[in-house]
Amino acid sequence: MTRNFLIETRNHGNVRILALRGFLDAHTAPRFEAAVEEELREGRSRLVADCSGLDYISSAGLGVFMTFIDEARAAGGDIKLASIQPKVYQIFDVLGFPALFDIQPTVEEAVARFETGTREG
Amino acid sequence: MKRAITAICAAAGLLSLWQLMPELDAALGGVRPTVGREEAIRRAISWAREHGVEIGGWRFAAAAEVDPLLARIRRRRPESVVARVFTPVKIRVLAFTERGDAVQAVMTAEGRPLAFLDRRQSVAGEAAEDAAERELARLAGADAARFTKTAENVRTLEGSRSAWEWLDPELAGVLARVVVVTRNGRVVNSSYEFSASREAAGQPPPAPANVQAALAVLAALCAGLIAVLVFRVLFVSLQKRPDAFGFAGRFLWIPAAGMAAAFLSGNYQNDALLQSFEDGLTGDTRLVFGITMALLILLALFLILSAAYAAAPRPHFRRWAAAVWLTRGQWRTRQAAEQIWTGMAAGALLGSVPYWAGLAAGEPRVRFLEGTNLLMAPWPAAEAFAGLVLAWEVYAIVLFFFPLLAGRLRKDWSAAIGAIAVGTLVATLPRSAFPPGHAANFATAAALTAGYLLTYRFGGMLGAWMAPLGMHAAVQGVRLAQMPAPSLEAAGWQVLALVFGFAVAALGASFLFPEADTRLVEAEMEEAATAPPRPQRERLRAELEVARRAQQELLPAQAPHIEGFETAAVCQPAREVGGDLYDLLACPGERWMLCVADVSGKGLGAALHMTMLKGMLVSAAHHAPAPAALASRLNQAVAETGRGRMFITMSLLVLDPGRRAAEHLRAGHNPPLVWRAQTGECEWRKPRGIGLGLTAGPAFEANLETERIEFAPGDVLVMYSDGVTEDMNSGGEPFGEKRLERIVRRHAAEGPGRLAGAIMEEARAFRGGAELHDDWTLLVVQCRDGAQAPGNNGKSRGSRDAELSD
Repeated sequence: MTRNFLIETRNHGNVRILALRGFLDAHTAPRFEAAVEEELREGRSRLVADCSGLDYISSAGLGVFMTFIDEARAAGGDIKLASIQPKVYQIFDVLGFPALFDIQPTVEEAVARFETGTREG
Repeated sequence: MKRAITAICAAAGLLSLWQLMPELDAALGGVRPTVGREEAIRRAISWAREHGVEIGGWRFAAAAEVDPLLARIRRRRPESVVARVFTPVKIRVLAFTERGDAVQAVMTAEGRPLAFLDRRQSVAGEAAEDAAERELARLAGADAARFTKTAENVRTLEGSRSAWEWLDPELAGVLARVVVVTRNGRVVNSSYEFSASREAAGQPPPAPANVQAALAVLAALCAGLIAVLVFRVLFVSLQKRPDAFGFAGRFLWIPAAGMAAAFLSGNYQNDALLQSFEDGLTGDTRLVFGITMALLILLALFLILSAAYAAAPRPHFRRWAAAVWLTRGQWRTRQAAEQIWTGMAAGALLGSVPYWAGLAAGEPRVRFLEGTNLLMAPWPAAEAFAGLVLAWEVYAIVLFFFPLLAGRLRKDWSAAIGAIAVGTLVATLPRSAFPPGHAANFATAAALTAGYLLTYRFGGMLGAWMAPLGMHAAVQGVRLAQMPAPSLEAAGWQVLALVFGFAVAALGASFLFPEADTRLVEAEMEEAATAPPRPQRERLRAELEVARRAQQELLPAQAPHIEGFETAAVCQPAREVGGDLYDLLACPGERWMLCVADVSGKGLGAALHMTMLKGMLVSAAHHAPAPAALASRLNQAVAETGRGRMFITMSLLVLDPGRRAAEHLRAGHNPPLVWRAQTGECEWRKPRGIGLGLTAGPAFEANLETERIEFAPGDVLVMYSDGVTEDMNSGGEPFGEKRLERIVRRHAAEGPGRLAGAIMEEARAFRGGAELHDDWTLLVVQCRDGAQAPGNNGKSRGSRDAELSD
């Protein structure tokens, strides 16, 4: 069962937005991982994952967020999550992600959080 | 920037073709035909009518051919009578019926009669005494008087044969002969022939026999070498890379489309009819042969493509990714559009290379790409698309041989030198641009191969594939555009509009289409390239089977007997080995530790962590620590070993059967479900908690809640992994908590075994044909009556697999 997963990146000021679309599972997680890794390698540590188009996330996909969150924060940035669909949010919620990650209703709010310097949700 | 450079290349190529072609092109023998297909057919009809044959309404095929001998004579002595009477380009029009009647009219580039052949079953009509003489006058015009009659009404099987000959005094050694055959006083066959000495024709002396032989041997050796390499790669590398056949098979539609264009436009049929006629047959007999050849060519392309794909070394994957992505139906990508445009533009520049070489070398004319057929094709633009199919030297050298070399040599440039050397020898020998043995051939071949390699370097695999199309289109388009208008009949514009429109569309698309993320494709190619060879795969599979069994051994073989409780469990891995774990462990003080855990990811990595968790749980069970302290310790261990790349969700229950109570904590795991026997209602138990290993910091402890669950007789606890609720059907719809709850309400009273069986049944029915998406684990616990009946003792049972019964 191969499903589509797309990442579109754009800039919002000095914040990098990664718009995720489709299914983020064990098959597609390596692409997401490579994308985040590249952002961090390029020195862009202020990241917002725009999850409005994300239809599904599996534990492998969640693992990518965990993998890089410390690195991003150590570099003075953060990985924030924004506009998550309710059914996907439920998965984040069960896992206890809201205690660890800054999750915002919209991308704009997530970007604004970088300006105010707030981190934890 | 890149697109600007390629556009400049294309413009430079077209401009130099426009400038150099009139002087240096040998394709039309220096003649500019003024008759197009329609006009030629019209003339053939009226001419046949003069011979008493009505061919209007018959099927027609037409072709233009160049007589190299006449072309040479014409170039040397353009004012001679021979050059005037016979033109190097002759246009053949063939008319035929399904009955087997056929009439062929051959004319000069201006539409003047040259030869006529009436091959009808029965020749009837008005006879003329002087039919043969009149035919000579028609063919030779004012020059008829120069001919001497050498044969008169000689009886042959065909009819009465008359012949005229004339030795041109200006051109010593050139003999022209006209032969007319009449039957019942009507012309059935008129033809002309030539004989000329080598000196008279100004033919260069042939290369010495030993040089020719050496070249032939060399070509054969190189071709053999490539064939051996292809087969070696096919049989050795393809064992490793099963995806190559898939790619080649899907890519074939591109050359197949080129062939289909030639077929649908009628070009194939046109050629087949003429060929059949020459073979003494009628109708489309040769079409069958042509189609067979096309299929064979496709098979050869399939093999070359598979071998080339398998031979491409890792650094080249980038150049192939757009093509691979395209074969998966993702054609709206910037990369593919850009590669196609680059190939077409580079092709235009490469098309001018032979002309530049000809200019530098002086005398020789370029006979490369002799495209006279284009003039008479029913749909000339389709001819250019043959370039998608027939440029086998590009596919063999640039797409196969060069990547193969590059994979074995350290430096790309040394591979390029090797490829250019072989390309020079092999690729252009069979169709050299200049007379055989001329040094300009080698210069052209080397420059062309280098150009194709550069196209591959900057334009990727699709660019290299498209470059021959760009080349054909540029050369033929310029040639047609330079023809006098009547010969075009919009044919030149067809080529310009279709092929050039295609190139411009690709350029436009490279601006409009989004850039595709081809990293996944590259990663997949990488994965396939590094896949172990088949024997090793077999061994790995066997080892995985051992691992699977070992892992199954880790799950409780038999559900332990818990006083006053009954249990049932199922654990199905999605792959050979899984990352799910459930366990029931006895603790000091008559207590039991029940747990369902899910390691992130699946497969071998998850299985190894699952084993580690099992070990830690077993050792912890001996000390019976408080659940929160145990979870905290597990969290530290997982965070350390997983290094942020892995986490475990876990539901942990420490059950005190005597008190019918349990302490429960939920480390990011799916909330367990409790069904109350008294009310028939369900409760989702969802204390706060973060998955193990997600954070090594104090946030874990700060967010960890331990709750107490009291059980009344009959109450049922259902613990499960997300494989159960996120199980998907083929439509991508998840099984969901609601469905689970519904089944629990309906079947909980029937006991753990039946409930587990019912959930499993429903899940299987829901899944339908879809594969198991994730590891699937279920643990059901029911509280029995406090005063347990003796007969109930053996009733608690567990299952490691789907073998559930009650």
